[in-house]
Amino acid sequence: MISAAGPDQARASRRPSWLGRLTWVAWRQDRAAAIGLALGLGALALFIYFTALKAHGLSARFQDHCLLLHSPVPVGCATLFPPMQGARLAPLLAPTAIGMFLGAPLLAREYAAGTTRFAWTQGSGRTRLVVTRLILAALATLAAGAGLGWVAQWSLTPDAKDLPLSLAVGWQALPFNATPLTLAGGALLGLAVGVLAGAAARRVVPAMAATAAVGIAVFALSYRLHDRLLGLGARTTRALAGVQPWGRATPNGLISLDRVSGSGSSGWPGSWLSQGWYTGPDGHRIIGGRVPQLMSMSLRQLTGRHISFWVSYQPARRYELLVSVQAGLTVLLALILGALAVGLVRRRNA
Amino acid sequence: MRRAGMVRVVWYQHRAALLGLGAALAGLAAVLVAAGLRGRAEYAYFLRVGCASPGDGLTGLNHCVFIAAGFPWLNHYDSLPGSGTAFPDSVSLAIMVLFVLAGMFLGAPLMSREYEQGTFRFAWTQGTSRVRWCGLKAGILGGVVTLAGAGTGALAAWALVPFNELGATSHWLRGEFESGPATAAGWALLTFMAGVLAGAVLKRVTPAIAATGVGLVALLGAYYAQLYQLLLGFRPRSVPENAAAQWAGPGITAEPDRVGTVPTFIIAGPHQPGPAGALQVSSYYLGPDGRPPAGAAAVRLIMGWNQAGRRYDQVAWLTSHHYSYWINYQPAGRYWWFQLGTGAGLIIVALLLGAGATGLVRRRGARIRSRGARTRGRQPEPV
Repeated sequence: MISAAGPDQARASRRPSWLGRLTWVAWRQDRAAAIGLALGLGALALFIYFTALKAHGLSARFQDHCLLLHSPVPVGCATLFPPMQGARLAPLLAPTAIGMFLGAPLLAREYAAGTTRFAWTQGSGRTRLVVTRLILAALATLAAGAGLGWVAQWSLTPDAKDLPLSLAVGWQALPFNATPLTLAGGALLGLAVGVLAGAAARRVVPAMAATAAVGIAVFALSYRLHDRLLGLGARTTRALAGVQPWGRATPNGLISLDRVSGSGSSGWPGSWLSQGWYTGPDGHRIIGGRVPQLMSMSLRQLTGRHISFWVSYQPARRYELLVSVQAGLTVLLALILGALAVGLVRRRNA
Repeated sequence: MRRAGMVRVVWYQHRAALLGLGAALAGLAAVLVAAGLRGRAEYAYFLRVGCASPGDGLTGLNHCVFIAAGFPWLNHYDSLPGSGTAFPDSVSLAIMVLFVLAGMFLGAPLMSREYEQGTFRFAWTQGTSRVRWCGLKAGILGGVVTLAGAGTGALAAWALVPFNELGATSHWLRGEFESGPATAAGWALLTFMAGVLAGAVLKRVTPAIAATGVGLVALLGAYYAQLYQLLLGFRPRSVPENAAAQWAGPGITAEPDRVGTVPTFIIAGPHQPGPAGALQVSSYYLGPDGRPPAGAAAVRLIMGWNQAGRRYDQVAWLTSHHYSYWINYQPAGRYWWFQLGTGAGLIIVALLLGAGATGLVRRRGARIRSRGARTRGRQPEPV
């Protein structure tokens, strides 16, 4: 005998789970923004690809010349070899655009249109609905950021075989922020900033404006903090030869080197040279007006006076680790902001 | 409605965006004033200790190199540590970002918000006609934006003088050229009017903001990639300058059998031979026969150049074998012509965009009127 509940049960078992249903709702609500953003980011990726295509077609010797800025710098490098153009755009544009057009309207539009009254009083709780939408948007954002970062990174790593060129340019702030990991983290942070702004402002345009302002500020701050990050756990060693001590000399005797150790340096090719300083025969750091005089002396002259030049540096192999640290920190910050946005939603409804 | 009343209405409607953008502009202006004062003080110090001379930048004296090293902000492209980005580049980028934001948050909502919220039904049926209403709003805000752009450009030009004097950069170069007073005013109005047009076309705020952002980024990208070179490459002068060849070997074209014209866009100055204060647009070689070397002549030039060894030997080899190196340049005196011409061109394009937006409003208004006549006595249809 077939029970009366049989067909209902069969229908119920065919119904998608709550996750599937909420995914469908999220897609219906955010598809325009998602498709528009995908098209925009796709266009940006294509732009990066085409600007780098010409550089990849040039010889390794030519790239070496242009990228490592050997002296004399060929005049045509800037126009014939523009590897940084695309990668310069990606770190600023992608996270801010994702935050403005996907993150900010995500909750602000619900509040502004008043649809929260309906949407958040259904069977699935408001927290579950909001969290599901946030997770789906975050996954799409991570994928988009990583993909864009991969293209940007490809644009910076030309086909030279003899030198770690990717590392040579990769340590600088702009390309460092355009790796798949860091750009994915940055994009997630942009999304979280937008969502929090939307939850706080509850109006779309002010939320977008706030996201743009915060996105630009975070971008500028990340560049300010870049040399701090590269100073984390830096190694110290006595420079034997090959490191030219030019750079900014501060009154406390530290010289900002801020460059990559090239093939001409003894020791650590591809490493990031952070700071340098001189120590006298007593082993103490030399400070004040003597430092510029010492900077003009050769290593032989310095050795004759029992003066040593020391450098702090990040070994080339730590590059990936530092990229992961930055990406991890941005993801952590994004999670905190996302949790704050969910907390705001919960508190308001309570 | 009287003009003063209109100004008040515009202020009430857009005060949030105006205040936000005004605060950002004030912040940028404060940075520029501080930078200008600091740059002038440091440059005056260089002059006082004999390490710089007006028009010639830093002298090559040994101790001066190390004195200059103590002033990295002015001299060593160090405004963003580790990024290799110079302060003048950061200023230009900040100004352009501000203009794009003005287009997105002031221009785009101007018409689209009226459409989206339906307030146009009330606003456009008052004593002031819809065309006059839209024209006045766009005109008042456009005027404010243009003046702000010109002021910011003038302040940026003032602040960057010490950098230019040291030869670190120039008002001719990409970035700084756009933030000159005339071009900045033109870009400011263009970005604003692009937003107004996007709002009039799309009639919804968020898509209008998105379209404005995408359109302006694409326009600026195209400008930096191509249009700048086309613009400043307009009818340059040519002069033989073999001494400048030491910075640009013939192999730079990366083509084995041809030595063609290479775009350079660098400044002739203390470290770069050429007419003083001129923008070097491109350079090319001529063979002994007075033609660009191709085939065997090109190979001979490249091989001979590479084998000559040091820079000065290479220049001597060039001269002794009757090759010559020519540069195309824009003389220093043409700078303001290019500034004013570019600014005027941008303003004309901006006015055309504004006229397009007003025309759209006018046409839609006519459509609404005719629909109203047809449906008189019935419930009006939503537009």
